[in-house]
Amino acid sequence: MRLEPDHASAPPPEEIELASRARAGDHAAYSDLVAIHQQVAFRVAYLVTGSAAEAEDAAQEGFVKAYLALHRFDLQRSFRPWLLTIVANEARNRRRSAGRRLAYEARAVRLAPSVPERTPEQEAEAAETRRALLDAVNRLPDSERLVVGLRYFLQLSEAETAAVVGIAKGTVKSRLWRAMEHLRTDLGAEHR
Amino acid sequence: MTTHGSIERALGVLGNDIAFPATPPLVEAVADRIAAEPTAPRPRWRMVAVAAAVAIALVAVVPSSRQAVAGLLGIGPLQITQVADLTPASTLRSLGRLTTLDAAREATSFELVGVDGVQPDAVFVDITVPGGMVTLAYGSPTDGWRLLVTQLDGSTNQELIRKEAGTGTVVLPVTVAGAPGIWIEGAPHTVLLLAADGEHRADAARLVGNTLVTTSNGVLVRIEADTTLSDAKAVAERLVPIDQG
Repeated sequence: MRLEPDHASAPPPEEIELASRARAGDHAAYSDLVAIHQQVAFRVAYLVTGSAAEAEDAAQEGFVKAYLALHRFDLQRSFRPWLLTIVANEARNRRRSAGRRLAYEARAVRLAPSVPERTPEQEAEAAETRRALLDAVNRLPDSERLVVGLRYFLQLSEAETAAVVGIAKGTVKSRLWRAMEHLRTDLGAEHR
Repeated sequence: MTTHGSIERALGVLGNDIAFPATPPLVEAVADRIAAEPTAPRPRWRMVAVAAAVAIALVAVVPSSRQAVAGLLGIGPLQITQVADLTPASTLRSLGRLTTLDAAREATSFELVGVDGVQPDAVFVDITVPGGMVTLAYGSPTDGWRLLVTQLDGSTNQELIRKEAGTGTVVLPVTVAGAPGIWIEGAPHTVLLLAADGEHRADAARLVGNTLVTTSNGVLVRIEADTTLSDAKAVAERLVPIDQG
C-alpha cells in the first residue's frame, strides 16, 4: 500500500533551493520551510506527547534546532524526515515527564467525501463501522497505536515513521502487522 | 473488514476524520528565535573552539585566590558543582517557547517578578521544568539579549537546575537585599535542566556567562548579563511582582 511519495527520496528542486538559502543564513527561506512543514511537525509532536501545549513547544524547539544544525543536513535528501526526527526527539523528551496516553477522536464534522449512491441506512452503518474501527485503534497497545497514527492518520512513509519512533524500518513493518492482527481480531469479536 | 488490506484502506479513510488540535502559528515564533542567533548556522566545532578559547583565556587571567568555592553550593532547587570537565553543552540559548506574560503566568505555579518599571522585550516559558520556568528577556534579539531574568518556583528543594562550574569560574556566596545569593563569574559555565529522575535532559545544557542567582518573593531568580556583580545586584534589588494583567 503506497500512501504518498516517499519523503526519503530525492527532494524537489524548490526545497533544495530553500534549504540551501536557509543554510547560508537566509531567514526568510527558512520561514518558508517552517510554513510548509509546521502542520506535520506539530501533529507528529502531538501524537508523541499527547498534549497540544507540549507539541507546540516541541515543534518550535525542533525547528530552531534544525536551523542551527542545517550545516549537517545533506541537501540531496528530503528535509521532512530529517526535521521530523529532530521534532520527535524533542517530543519524546517532553513525554518522558508526562506519561499520558493519547486517544484518537473523530472530528465533529466529517471531511472525507461521502458516497452519493449510499442510502441513509448505509451511511449510518458506515459511520458505525468507522466508530468501531476508531475504538479498536484506541484499544491497541501504545507502541502499535502510535505507528498506526503516524502511518495512516498522518500518512508518513515507513522510513519517516521509523525515524520518528526511533526504531528500524523492519520493526515498523512488524508493529503494523501486529496492529492489523489485533484490529482484525478486535473488530471480528465485536461483530460476533 | 477481514483482511489486513481492507483494514489498511479503512484506516486511510478514517485518517481524514481524526480531530487534531489547530496547528499553532510557528513561523513567527521560530523566526524570532533564530533572529536571536548572532550568525547563520555553522559547524558546532567552531562554537566549541570559540568557547574553549574563551575559557582558556579566562583561566589564565583569573587569580587562583579568587577560585573560591569547590564542592557544592545551592539555593532551593538550584545546585552548583565545581567539576573538572563540563558536560558538553550547546551555545544555543534554549530559553523555551516564546510566549506572552499572561500565558507565562498561566503556565507557572509561582508569581512572576520583573524589573520595576521596565517591560520585558520577550517572554519565554519552559513547562517541562516542574512548576514551569520563565525567562524575561530585555534588549533586542538581533543584537543579543542585554539581560535575561530566569525564574522558577523557589519553594521546593527538589533539584531542578544544576550549574557546573569549571576551574576557570569564580563562584562566590553573596547577599542580595538581605537574601542569600551566588555570583558566578569568569569562564562560561554550564546550565543543566534536570528531569524528575535527576538525569539532565538531552540538549538541555547550555553555556552561559556572568550570573547572579538569588531569591525574590519566594521565586528563584537567575540574572544573566554581561555585567559586574554590583550592577547585577542593582537589578535584583529592583525586582518586584509583576502586576496581574
